[in-house]
Amino acid sequence: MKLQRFLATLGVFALLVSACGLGPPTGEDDGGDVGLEDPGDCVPVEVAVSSEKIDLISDLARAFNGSDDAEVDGRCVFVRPYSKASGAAMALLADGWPDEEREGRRPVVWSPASSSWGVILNQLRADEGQPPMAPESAPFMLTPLVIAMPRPMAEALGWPDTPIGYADILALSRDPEGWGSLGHPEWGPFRLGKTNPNYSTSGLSALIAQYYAATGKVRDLTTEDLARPEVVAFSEGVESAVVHYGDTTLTFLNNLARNDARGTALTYASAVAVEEVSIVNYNRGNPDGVLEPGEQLVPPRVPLVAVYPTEGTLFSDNPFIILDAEWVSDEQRAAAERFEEYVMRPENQARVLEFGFRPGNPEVPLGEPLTAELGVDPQQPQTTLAVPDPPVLVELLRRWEEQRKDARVLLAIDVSGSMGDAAGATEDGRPLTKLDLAVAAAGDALEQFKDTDEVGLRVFSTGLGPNQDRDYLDLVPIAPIGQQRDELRRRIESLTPVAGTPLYTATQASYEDLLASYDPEKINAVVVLSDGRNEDPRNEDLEGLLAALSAGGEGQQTRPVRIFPIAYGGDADLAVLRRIAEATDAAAYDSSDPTAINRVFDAVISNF
Amino acid sequence: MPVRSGTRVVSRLLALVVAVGLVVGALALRDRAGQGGPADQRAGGPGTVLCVTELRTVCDALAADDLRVRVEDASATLDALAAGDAPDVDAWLTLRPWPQMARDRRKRAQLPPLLGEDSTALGHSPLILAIWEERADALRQRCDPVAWDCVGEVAGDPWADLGGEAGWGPVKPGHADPGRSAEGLLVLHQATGSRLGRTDYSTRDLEDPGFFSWFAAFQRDLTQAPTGSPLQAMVQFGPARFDVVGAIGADLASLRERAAARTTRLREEEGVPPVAAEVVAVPVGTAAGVAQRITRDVPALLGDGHWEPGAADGRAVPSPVALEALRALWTEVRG
Repeated sequence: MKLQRFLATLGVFALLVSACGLGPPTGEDDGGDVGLEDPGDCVPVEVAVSSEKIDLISDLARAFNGSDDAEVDGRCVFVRPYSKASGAAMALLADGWPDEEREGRRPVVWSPASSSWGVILNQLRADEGQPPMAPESAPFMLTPLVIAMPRPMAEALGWPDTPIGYADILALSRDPEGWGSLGHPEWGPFRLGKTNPNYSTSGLSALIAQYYAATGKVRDLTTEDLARPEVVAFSEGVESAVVHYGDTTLTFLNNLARNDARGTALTYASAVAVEEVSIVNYNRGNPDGVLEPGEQLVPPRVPLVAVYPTEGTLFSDNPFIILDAEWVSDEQRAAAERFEEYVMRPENQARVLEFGFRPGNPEVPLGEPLTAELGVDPQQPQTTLAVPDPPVLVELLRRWEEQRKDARVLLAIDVSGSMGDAAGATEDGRPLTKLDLAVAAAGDALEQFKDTDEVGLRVFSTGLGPNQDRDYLDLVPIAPIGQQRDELRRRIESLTPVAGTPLYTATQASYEDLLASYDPEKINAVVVLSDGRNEDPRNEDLEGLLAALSAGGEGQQTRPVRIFPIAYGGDADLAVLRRIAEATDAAAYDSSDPTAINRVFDAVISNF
Repeated sequence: MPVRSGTRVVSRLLALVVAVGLVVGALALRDRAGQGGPADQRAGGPGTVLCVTELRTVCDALAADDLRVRVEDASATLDALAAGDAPDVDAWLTLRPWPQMARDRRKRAQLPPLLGEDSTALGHSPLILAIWEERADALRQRCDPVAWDCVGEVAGDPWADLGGEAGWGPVKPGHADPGRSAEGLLVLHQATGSRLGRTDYSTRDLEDPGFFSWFAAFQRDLTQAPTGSPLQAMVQFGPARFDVVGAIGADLASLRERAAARTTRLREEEGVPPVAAEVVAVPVGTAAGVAQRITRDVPALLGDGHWEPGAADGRAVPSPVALEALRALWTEVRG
């Protein structure tokens, strides 16, 4: 049952992330295709891949389609890749991929970031008495999980001459003196970036490594190990150093790049658990790994280096899985095998290397860009950590829910008049407003906070209060949610649309209130949900707001308050909200489709 | 005319008996033929070869030469044959002694003979240990020569305790899955021979508590092999995944040829006691033509893949009984 609960959680979270097309400010577009044309009369081969390799696979598919190689039994083959988060695809496959129109075409080939997802899928199906769907498959390309550190910080730890382990880094993260213990008090506390393990393969791998470090083991982790008091204490200490969580490492990398540009690279995050390929991309000047048309590569002033932990690490092995699914025909299977053979050819595996991954075909030597100049070392890692058994993984995630850093969050919800606009209907035809949908989503999101998280509720609109002269009202003060979850829900459900949108005033006030009551033991954050533009002639000073928010960032002081805006509905000012997020080293979320707000809320809450 | 009439009746009866006999005979022949080869071969088609996974490359070349080819793990073929399933093929290209294991199992299951005689050895290759150079140097401080007896003892121990670097983690030996792969079971046989000091061990030797203890610990501390060949994974992942892998020597030589840059630091140690993988072709059913043809063609293809010609003189090929006992022991230990 634990495994099922874990899988359900993992799957639902992943599903939610993928289904709504939300993503970090980089525009990572999960679920979309990549512009490959209609297959015509050819055998279609749908290929669902995790987002980090969509560009690569798309390039290869374009070269393959129409070539002499793209033929099986006299019929042409047409490969159509699309991006699907690994966990989301796993959850959909476990459920038989029920809704093609909504979730994308059923895949013939699935290439998640890690083969662990295939193991989980088969386990889930076995629990339901179904045969495995993901056969063991060869890695298409590899990249190890590493600890990315700004080079001066790594050097302060003795890099590259002194081997560095998770234990070293995690011990530093628990040291109250922070970098001061290594003679660099100017860098402040040690700040750790790692993603939410319910969403992110990197986050899950980092969590596994963290527990190995806590136990001193490199294999055979047990549930009993996880319960040992010293292990619990170690993990809680590590989590206390976390900047924030989130659904993707790209948020960290983009924020690092922005801080680097303004000369504050050493004060945002000291170490981030990422895949090796991310360091290559970052140091090339392409932190999100996606080069938009016209985008210039701007290498950072302070490069990142990859620390390969001495205890070992885990690989993302990117298997090429031809699914044993009922919707895969023999012809499609043969066609998929043709594409796999094509992808594994040395000349195409050289493309893998160009993208910063390690080729799955050992015939391709490791070389550029896997070089010291770009912060990585192809001779590393020297050992791997064993993936724990499924029951241990379940327990590990359950404990993380308890041990993760507490959050202190103000939900600031726009109740301007436009929130009363129609946005959908119930199944029985009753019309729903944008506010109706947001209220439901916010109410559901409350369940994802743990009892010790502190949450408050603020609404903003012009004309609030008994005298209709307030721009915002605190409906529920910030306090442990375990004491007031029902009250929060009740107050959220009673919200009604009012007047204009004093976005800048409400945002700045919320920020300053959180800053004034800052709690260093928690993730301090404001979630701003807004459906429009600033509609307040008394305060149109965006630059002033951004300056105030930036001044409170890590560069100048050590009381980071993150603002995570949600751009809600088609009229929301996403560009402005994105700038607000960036000013506090957070991320903005796009819910231009109001019906996606529930899932967007989930993604936002993944930061806590 | 009663006499003529009686003659006619007898004639008709005889004709009926003959007709029935012909039908029965035809059915019997069809049944036998059905066990013996695929329809296209019976109809004069190219024929089908069932190849053990370890010989995939050779069989790809056969496929290019108009034969039909099917590739599967040795255990899959063995289990199917023992279950009475008749593979729709004309010949089996595999390693010795798997054909004899199949014959023995069918006999125990009271199934009719299906496989013809083994061909002469079409080629052979020694089993070797591939090990990263710097780790071989460190390991030799404890294990000289580098052999499975000793490797099994230090499996899972920290390299730092053996004179290696702490960053290398635990000693990570690997071999293919003996439950599926012929290579895996052959390596396990060599490891057992290394521990027992001989390759003609008996089932009683395997029951010895001292041996069992070593065997169970070794298999518990073995690094799990990923999909496909551990040797391939060793090069794909570098020393992170495996420190030392048991494999067929020809495979390492081929890999070195294809992946020179990523195998320069790999050292090859011939296992002790010497054991070889030996290739044979076996007719399946009554059609011997395909087996004869591949017996003619395969040696050269094996040579291209760094297999040595002919039989493995001086290197032991395990007995079917020993391998069956070993497989059962491995299943018991690994669950």
